[in-house]
Amino acid sequence: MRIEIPSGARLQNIEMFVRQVTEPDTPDLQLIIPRSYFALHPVVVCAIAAAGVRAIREGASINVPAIPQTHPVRYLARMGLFDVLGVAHPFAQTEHEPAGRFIPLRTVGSGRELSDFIVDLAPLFHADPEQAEPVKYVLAELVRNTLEHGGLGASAVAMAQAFPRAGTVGIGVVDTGQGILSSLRSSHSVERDLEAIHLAMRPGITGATRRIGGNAENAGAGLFFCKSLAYISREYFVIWSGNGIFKLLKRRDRDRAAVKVRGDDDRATRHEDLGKWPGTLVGIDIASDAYATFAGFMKQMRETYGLDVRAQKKQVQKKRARFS
Amino acid sequence: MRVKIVEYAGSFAENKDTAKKLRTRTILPRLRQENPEDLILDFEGVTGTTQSFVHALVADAIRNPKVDALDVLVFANCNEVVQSVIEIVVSYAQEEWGEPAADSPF
Repeated sequence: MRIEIPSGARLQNIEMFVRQVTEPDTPDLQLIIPRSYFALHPVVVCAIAAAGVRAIREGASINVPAIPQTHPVRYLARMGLFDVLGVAHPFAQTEHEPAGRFIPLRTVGSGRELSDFIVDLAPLFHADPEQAEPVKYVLAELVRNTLEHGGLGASAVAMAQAFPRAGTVGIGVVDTGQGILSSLRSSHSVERDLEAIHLAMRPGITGATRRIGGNAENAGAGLFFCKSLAYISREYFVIWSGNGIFKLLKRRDRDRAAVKVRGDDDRATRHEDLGKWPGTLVGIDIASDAYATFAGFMKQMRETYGLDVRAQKKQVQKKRARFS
Repeated sequence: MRVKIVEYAGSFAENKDTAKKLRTRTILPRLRQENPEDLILDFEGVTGTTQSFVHALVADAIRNPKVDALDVLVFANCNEVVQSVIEIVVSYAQEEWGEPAADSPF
């Protein structure tokens, strides 16, 4: 894989990054870092790291011809990118970020590592621990998806960063596993990457079973919840898997607050010919104060979650959970 | 019987392997009993949880038509978010969908 870092790649213009990823099926990684200023969303940093993890896993080479000593490159070093790639860099030993505004790159390959990662998120929100809850939720769901559906030996590379001025937290979770199409194909009739992405975002759809509603271990709701949180937050949500790219656009004032169950119905930008990611890449922005609306978000999910299947099935008399 | 979730899953309950163990080793055996007493799933100290965790914990039991899981299970000390997640899972688990567990004893 060859990656040339663009001048800027946030979720709203993720296509800038997509176009700079070439030779996706080649495990060797060549990373071109510009001398000029650049600003990257955490998901882009995760993608570069994930490409490096794949190269290392497959015994391929990692080549970074130049590491300019610029502020943006120092940022990459602080995120731990060069450590993940195993590449020497000219920057001093990174110190703990005193403001706790980011969680550096972490490779997660097991449930135990995921639990440890979630615990380590706390410092990012030391000033307001409650705000960590939606971030923990998203990371737990997305990383778990990789571990369970990414294929044998798949690991996720994850990172989160708070952007105080924008009032958002950017989250990236990337793997070089089997991709969504391959994961779903075992249980569902689907032929194209974008079609698979749409299907995967529907509640109740999981590669673990063809039955709508999942099985004992998998509900098929993780992506739907994450997409919905971004939608409610009026933020972006991106999935890139194989040749399919789905970019949920920000909810406008005139858009209904109700979350759409079918990904095809979302107001989004979609591509099938821009580039290929050998695995799954998920990027999401959520509002920094999302916790204030997180409880309300969950209440709305309760109404929306069963909507798709319920419409086709007879209403059943339900019991309520007992709380004390 | 009271199960303190925080002792198994920590303050953010997301580990589905843990949920599965609780389901298979504690919840389902209790439900298999004749006239089982309430099983209290105590979420004190749990600040958050995922829908995936709660699904793996209770959905299979709730779905099974041979037992009235919700007549036995009590969810205690849930904060607002945890309660909402549980209500989501309890609601959809009662829909006529999904696949029973291969290891379900029912």
